[in-house]
Amino acid sequence: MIGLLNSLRFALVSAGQNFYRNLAVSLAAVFTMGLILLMVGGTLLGTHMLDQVLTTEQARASNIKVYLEDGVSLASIENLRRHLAADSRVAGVHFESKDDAAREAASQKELGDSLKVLGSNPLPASLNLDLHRLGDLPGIDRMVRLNAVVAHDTHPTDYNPDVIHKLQGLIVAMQLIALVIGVVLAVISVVIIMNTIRTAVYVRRREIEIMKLVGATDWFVRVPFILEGVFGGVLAALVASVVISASYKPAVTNLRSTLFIFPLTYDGSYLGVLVALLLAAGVGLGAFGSYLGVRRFLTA
Amino acid sequence: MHAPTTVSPSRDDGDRPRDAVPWGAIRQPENLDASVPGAARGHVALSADPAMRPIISFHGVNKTYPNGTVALRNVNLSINERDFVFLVGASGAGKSTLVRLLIREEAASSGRIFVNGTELTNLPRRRLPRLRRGIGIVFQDYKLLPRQTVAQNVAFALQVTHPGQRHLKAKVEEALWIVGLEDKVSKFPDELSGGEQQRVAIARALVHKPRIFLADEPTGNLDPDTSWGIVQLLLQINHRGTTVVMATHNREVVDLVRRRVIAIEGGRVVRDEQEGQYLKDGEATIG
Repeated sequence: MIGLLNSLRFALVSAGQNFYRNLAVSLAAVFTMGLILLMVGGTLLGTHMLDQVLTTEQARASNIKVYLEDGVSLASIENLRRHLAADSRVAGVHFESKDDAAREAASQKELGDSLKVLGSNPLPASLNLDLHRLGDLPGIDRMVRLNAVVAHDTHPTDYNPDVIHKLQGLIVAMQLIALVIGVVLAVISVVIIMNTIRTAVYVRRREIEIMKLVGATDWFVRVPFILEGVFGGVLAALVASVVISASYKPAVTNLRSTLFIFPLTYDGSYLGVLVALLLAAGVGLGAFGSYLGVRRFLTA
Repeated sequence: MHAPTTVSPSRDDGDRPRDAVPWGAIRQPENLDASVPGAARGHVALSADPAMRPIISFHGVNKTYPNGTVALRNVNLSINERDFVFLVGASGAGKSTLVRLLIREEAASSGRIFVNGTELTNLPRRRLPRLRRGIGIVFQDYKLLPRQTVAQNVAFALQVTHPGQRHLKAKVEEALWIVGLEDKVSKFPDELSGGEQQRVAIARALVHKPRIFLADEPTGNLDPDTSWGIVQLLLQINHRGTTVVMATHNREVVDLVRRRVIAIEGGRVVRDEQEGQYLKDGEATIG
């Protein structure tokens, strides 16, 4: 046990000393890893933002607004409401009056301004349905259109199959692209990091040679290099985390105004997860890259 | 080469008279007068130990490198504990390959090798450290760490094999005292002469008290006087009970010391003589 602790202490001290003594090469490795982790982090964040869009769209899509004719009796509306609430496909029904619709519209700046200009409330009352399954939307849509209280002349429901299908297709395609980018980045990063660390190890090949000659075990030789890789990986992950954390919010704001069809949102809680993922990736890449980098000199 | 009446000082050794190094006590055993090479070949340790047994043996060993170069052919030899053996031969004769086989840096293509009671054929990698801890080795190019002091270079060998061991400093100081560099502990390798650097390498190889000491052309980069100092040191290490195998080109040293000589030519052992010389009587060259 004491021997193990001594070995660990020796490994930690030599890893620190080696990192400092070969600062230029060490920093080059950190810079490379930092750049790669930045790209990995950016990809993860992009995927998360797409996920959010998908979730929002799915939640939004499994809702349907059934617009009601102006002037129909409350009894007939209540009749329809009860009929829909009894339907097993429907999770919930909520009545939104003309006034509620106006208030909702007023909270959105442009619509609110338009309403002020008009001076009257043209918005219809509606029954807002939450469905259990997205796939039940067409059936419910068809069914409610047969009811007399529904606004047949104007806009019976807000169901738009084309937009939803296109959006879903786009999101799946973008997730696929993100996955491909992620895999390619991971492969490239391991190769680059392995070669960068191999350069750092090459500088110290004589040290490894002597360690082997005097009878150091393979793991005793490896561990300081692996720890050094882990130091570098953590440092790179921290740098990448700081850059991503600082640019996430401005990026969302800018993208929201450019890609206005996507409901992009800022999710501060995801940053914690992202930093943890980057740290894990940094530790993993640093350790694995060093392991591969030092292997050639151990077996030589 | 000068008649080695004294252990010659290194040329840039400052004002410290290396020839006045107190080789006595540990460094200069009573019955081995380093100033008289004839006496140094007295086989004191060998004759004192009747239970001599082979510590190194080769049985029909062949070595062919992947590029097809045949380095050793059917080598059979046996070296007893506490022997002092010169391996001689021209460049490319196979001396260095033999040394590399002994520390299992290379594996034999066929045949069996025993070192310190371990058979090296099919020795798994995980057992290499134990084998190497029983062997001290020095090379022509010293293989010192340039950014570490003399003491750190020597301590390195102990730290990587027995990290955190007690009395590290005392053991390092003892090894440096044996090689006569106790006043150079804080120097860096590039502040030392070639001979002094080789002494540091010897101290590093000695510090974990190996049973076998291998020296691959240890005097290859040194002038004759300094070379003689290094050989004197190896003789004393041998006298302390360590088996010494020295691969060399240095004809003068071999002929002066007159210990066992194994001559290798074209990968074969062509001569194995007790109290031998670099060249066979009447032989003009080797190889």
